[in-house]
Amino acid sequence: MRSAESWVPPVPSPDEIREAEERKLPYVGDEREGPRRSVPNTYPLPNKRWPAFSYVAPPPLIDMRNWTFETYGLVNNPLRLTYAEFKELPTVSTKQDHTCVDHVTTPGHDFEGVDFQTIVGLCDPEPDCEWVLVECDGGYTITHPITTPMVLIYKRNGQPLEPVNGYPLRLWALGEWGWKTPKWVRRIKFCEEREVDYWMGWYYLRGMDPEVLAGGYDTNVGSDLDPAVVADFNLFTYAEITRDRRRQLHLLGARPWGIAQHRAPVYIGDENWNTENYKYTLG
Amino acid sequence: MERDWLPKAKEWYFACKTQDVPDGGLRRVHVYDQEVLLANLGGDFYAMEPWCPHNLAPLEFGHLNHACEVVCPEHAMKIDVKTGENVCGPYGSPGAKFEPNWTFPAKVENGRVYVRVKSDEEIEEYYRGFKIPFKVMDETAG
Repeated sequence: MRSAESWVPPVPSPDEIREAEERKLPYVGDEREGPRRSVPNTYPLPNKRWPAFSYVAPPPLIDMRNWTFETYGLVNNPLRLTYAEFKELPTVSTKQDHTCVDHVTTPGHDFEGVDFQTIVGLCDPEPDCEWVLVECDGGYTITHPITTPMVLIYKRNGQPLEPVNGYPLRLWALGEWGWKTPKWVRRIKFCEEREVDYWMGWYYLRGMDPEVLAGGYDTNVGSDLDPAVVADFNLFTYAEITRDRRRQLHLLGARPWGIAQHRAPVYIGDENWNTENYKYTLG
Repeated sequence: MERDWLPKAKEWYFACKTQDVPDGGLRRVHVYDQEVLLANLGGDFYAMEPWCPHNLAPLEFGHLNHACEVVCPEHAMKIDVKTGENVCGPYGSPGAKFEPNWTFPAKVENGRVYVRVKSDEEIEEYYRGFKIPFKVMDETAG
């Protein structure tokens, strides 16, 4: 048995320190003060329920009998997995806060899913692959660098995901806004360069200056940005107006988007959510 | 911030690898800023808009017949892969007149398929040709 006098605390090598730093999960806040409990100027909600904050391009119907998760593009082994096959992949668990750009936070979701690097290892991408484009049912798309720490989640707090929150599969990008974590994920394309995703195409089609678009688009939660660039971006996106609910009520009237757009998808041939045990859920 | 993605800086954009589209099969892929339907005819790749002009059904779930036509899965409308012309209307009706689908040039290099998507100027010129002016809908427009 080793005595206390002879034991020397292990000194990690610089390489080990660097690897451990790379393994750290990103978090919001100052490193010396520790991770923040919540993002400033947000309204934390209790974590028992998880309301859906946005319903961009929800799919009306998902047929789980022929549902497959697919990868294609710059990979040597394109994947095509059914939901049962996908759930047999090795899982990881993370505790994450959801932060919406409307400054509402729901803290402490226990997510379970497949690490994106596991998918990358299975696909064997080519060396010049740097970006991924995630395609969802309903047409929503999002781009991420391939090195972004992400988890493809299918369980929350030990239960299967709810339909409004992206069942059967949702991509969780750690430390990102909610709109960077798309629901109802179906396919992932591995690309050599960045492609134009849903919101980028939306703003470009409506005439936003590409310089402003590039400057204000990739904002992490709590990132330090040039206030002038953010002001230009918010001016175009009417961010101040849409957050002024009284003015929005005056201009558009109550609930202008219609109830049908707030409907979650209907699932066919699914064991968790089908028309017998689940009617429609309104957020 | 360095920007190299908008506006379009190139003509040809990466679509997928040749292994992603089986021989004689169809596949919907995302190419830069739009979705295209890729058809593999014995190693020759053809790109077209992925929606049926009749009811906007997804043509990826249709099939290719021996005349190199895509048969729509909903109403069996036939569209020529190489030209985008509507060969016959829904369920063989001859009278259906729709705008032909846009087709895009495709090429293969090193096992990778590249598609020449339309430039912003070409798209703008197309929309300028409308008699009724086209306006992009905003979320405030209802």
